[in-house]
Amino acid sequence: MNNCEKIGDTVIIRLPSEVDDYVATGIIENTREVFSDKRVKYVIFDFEHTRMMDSSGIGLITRRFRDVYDRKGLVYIINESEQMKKILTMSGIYRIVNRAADIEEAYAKAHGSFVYQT
Amino acid sequence: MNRNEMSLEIESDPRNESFARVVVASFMTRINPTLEEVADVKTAVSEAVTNAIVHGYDEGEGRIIIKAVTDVEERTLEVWIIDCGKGIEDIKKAMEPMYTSKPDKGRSGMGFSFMEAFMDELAVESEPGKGTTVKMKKKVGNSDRETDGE
Repeated sequence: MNNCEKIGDTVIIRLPSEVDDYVATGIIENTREVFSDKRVKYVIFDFEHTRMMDSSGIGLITRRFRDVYDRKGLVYIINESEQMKKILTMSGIYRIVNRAADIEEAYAKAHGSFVYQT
Repeated sequence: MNRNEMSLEIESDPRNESFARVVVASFMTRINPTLEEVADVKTAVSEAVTNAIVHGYDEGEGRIIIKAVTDVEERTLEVWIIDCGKGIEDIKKAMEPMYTSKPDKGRSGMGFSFMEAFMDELAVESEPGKGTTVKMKKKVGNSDRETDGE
């Protein structure tokens, strides 16, 4: 259902087209193990395919934010549509997460100049 | 006939959240909404149905009724989400932004705020032990950005 990829200290979560309570709960479960690794410091939420989200999606982001915040990490959001921007802005989540154009930029921002190669 | 009504009854199963909002989304096409307006309604319906499942029935078994009415002339959609669950003790508190009775479960406490933001009207009726009814209304065509053809 969800696509989760771990590259060193960074986890990329590719969100599906609709994020509701059922989907968000599934993603929290499916990524629990990967986030139990204390070395994971950065999370990139990719909204490329996401067209609908409710507040459960905000709950998912804040949950993972809390995990990496304790490790002095950061959360990035990429590829969000106008509709998603509206929801994310309304929730106030941009106060705690960062935006980047794509995975490469998010990865580079998190790691200084080191660029992640796809 | 300007007015049209539908009613749907579902089990309080989280897997039905997407089914419920898709039904309402397709039902509202007759008032010719923009994609953005449909997405707004889907989010609001999703919030209300999730609340019924998670809080109304405490993730146990129950039935949720979704009623919708469209008016082609007025270009309005009314949606009622009705559950016969445990009800809300303090509606005012439940509607406060960021308030959640289940903070440990990753709940953001933004459900009602999202419903309020994405719909034009929101009313919540509830009685402890009897259930909750969320009534929402949205008028489409408020934005001038409609470019969809006939």
